[in-house]
Amino acid sequence: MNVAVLAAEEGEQVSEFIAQESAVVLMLAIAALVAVAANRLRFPFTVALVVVGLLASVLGSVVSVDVSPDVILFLLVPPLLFEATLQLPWPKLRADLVPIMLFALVGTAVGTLAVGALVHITVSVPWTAAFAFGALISATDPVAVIALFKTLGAPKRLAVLVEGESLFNDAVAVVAFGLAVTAAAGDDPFTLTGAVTDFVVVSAGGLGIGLILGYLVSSVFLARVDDPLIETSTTLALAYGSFLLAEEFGVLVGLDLHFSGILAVVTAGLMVGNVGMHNTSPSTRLTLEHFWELLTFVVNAMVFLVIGLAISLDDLAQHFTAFVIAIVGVLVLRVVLIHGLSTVSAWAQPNRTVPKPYRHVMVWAGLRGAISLALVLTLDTTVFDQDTVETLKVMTYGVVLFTLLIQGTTISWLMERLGLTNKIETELTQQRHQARIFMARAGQTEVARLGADGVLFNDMATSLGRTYQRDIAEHMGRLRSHMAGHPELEVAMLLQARRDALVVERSALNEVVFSGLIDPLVANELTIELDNRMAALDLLEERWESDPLPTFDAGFEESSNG
Amino acid sequence: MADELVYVSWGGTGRGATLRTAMERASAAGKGLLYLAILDDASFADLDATFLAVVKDELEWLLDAQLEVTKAQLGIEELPVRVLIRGGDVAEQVAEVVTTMGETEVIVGAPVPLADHESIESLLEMIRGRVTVPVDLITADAEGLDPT
Repeated sequence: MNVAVLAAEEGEQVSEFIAQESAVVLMLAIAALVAVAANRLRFPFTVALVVVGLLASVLGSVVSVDVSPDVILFLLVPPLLFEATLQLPWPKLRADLVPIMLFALVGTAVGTLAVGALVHITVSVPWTAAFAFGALISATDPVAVIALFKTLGAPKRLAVLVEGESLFNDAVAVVAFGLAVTAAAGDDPFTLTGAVTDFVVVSAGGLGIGLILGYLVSSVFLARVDDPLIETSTTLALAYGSFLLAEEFGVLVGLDLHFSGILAVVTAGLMVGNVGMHNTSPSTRLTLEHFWELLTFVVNAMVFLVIGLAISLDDLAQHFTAFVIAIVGVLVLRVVLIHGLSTVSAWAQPNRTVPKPYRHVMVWAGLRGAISLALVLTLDTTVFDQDTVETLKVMTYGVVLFTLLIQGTTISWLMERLGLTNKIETELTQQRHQARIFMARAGQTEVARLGADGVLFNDMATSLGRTYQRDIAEHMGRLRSHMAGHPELEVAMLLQARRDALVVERSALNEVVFSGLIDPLVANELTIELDNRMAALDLLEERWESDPLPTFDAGFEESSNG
Repeated sequence: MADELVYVSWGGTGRGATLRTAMERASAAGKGLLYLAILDDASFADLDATFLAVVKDELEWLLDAQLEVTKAQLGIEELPVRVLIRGGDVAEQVAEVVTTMGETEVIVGAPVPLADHESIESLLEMIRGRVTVPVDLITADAEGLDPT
């Protein structure tokens, strides 16, 4: 190969790299604009991104990105899973482990078989392809819903149930999908024993790798190193490293073996969120939280824009019947599984049932997204024929699109109907009363100043001041009666006041440090103390507000066991 | 006879409303009020000891402030009140504290919303099984769920 050819190839690689980089930059810019618009219109950000992606693909996209399954699975999915588990308190997850595991394990297994059978019979695709579809479409992706839960002030327990199910069913779906594809390839004939053994090995390996790496980072590294930047970088390496090590374990040891990368990253994330976070300083915790929040924003923007770009509306129109069958089948089955398994869970754990309104929301919150898309994109004509691959892709696109655009935009309405968004409205009402008091006081102060400056006659200023005082008393009365009707707001108000006071204390500390009145060593000690107090308030709020009852469940278990 | 009633709380929601009722009851009985807040195992056992100490300290500050606010709201500034923070199983902690106090009365503040009556009633039964003094549940609207 001569130098000119090498230079040309290098040039192609560079221009390809620049094209990809430009696409990423453009996508980030689009995401920022979409985020601004979505916030103003109070529309789910991720759903808005899909809409924009769809529009871009319909209009002839200027964005050309690599939507290969590896990019989604190996680059985009690990940080999303890791960040989701960082926020998942183990005590709350453990309290609902029975329903979560029923939904994730039994729900996904039954869902794979039932949707597979339906698709095989009605759409006439081979059994293995039908089961592959049943598996990939069982992976729920609640990113859009969880973001909405936060905005709507939904109960924390509901978020834990939805998120917990999603984290674990992703892993089951990937394993089941792999089994179906392997059976279709004919390399390894399908047997139930083989499938169960594979599932146990793949899951146990993933859990083991996540536990070991998670322990090393959380209990050894984060406990000994005190540098926010180094510690944060290590968690990034852990997120990708645990996923890669599990998926590529066989390559490393020279065996035909791989473990669940999803379970590895989920376990590692749970370790860091529940153990590692408590072994770090408050400064590191804040840096970690901000870093992962930013990374999740960026990755979510990529994922949902890519979903929009990857879906072809023309293909959906051509395979309309298959698309409708898939949506109806998936929805009906979700209703049956969530309600049925919740009943089983109530029988197994009578003290901790999943309330009916939660079940309705869980049915409608079963959105599909990145995992389903990544899995269907791995299908090619080496395993199934062209028609089958096209049909599976269209059905997947259809279900992903329907769940995101229809369910994702109507779930807040459903939650309002079920009375699960009450908190946010009561808080807004409280803020309205507080704002009116604040405004009236500002007006009263200004009127008094005008009177004192001689701009207003004194008697006029006094009268206006009294009128303002009457308004303030009226709003104060309304605020008190509102708070009496919603006693939970009182605690929130107290916490907020303490938080505000601590912020002012920190400013005061900075001032005395700046003026040289205290030694930097003392300043550092007091800063750490203030950080700790602020972190303690966050923790108290997080563990109080949402679900005061698990306290008793655990108490009963311990007592009855003991 | 102890000169304090024991008010038990484990969470944030609704505590202000039930606390007011407990303080009114203590004031009417001419007794003080011990505010027993429990950081239960299910929610707080995962914290390391150093951070848990800060959490306890901060909680004590908040509850002291809340007692002052509530006393002022009710116009009973002279009512003797104090805060005690304990960690562990709710029923066990209540029993331990009450045992050291002799004859008193335990008032349990119910959470808001009151979603799971069975669970709360089971807790009450557990406390009643461990102490010999009266145990009463008060809700945010001050209506007793269980008058026994």
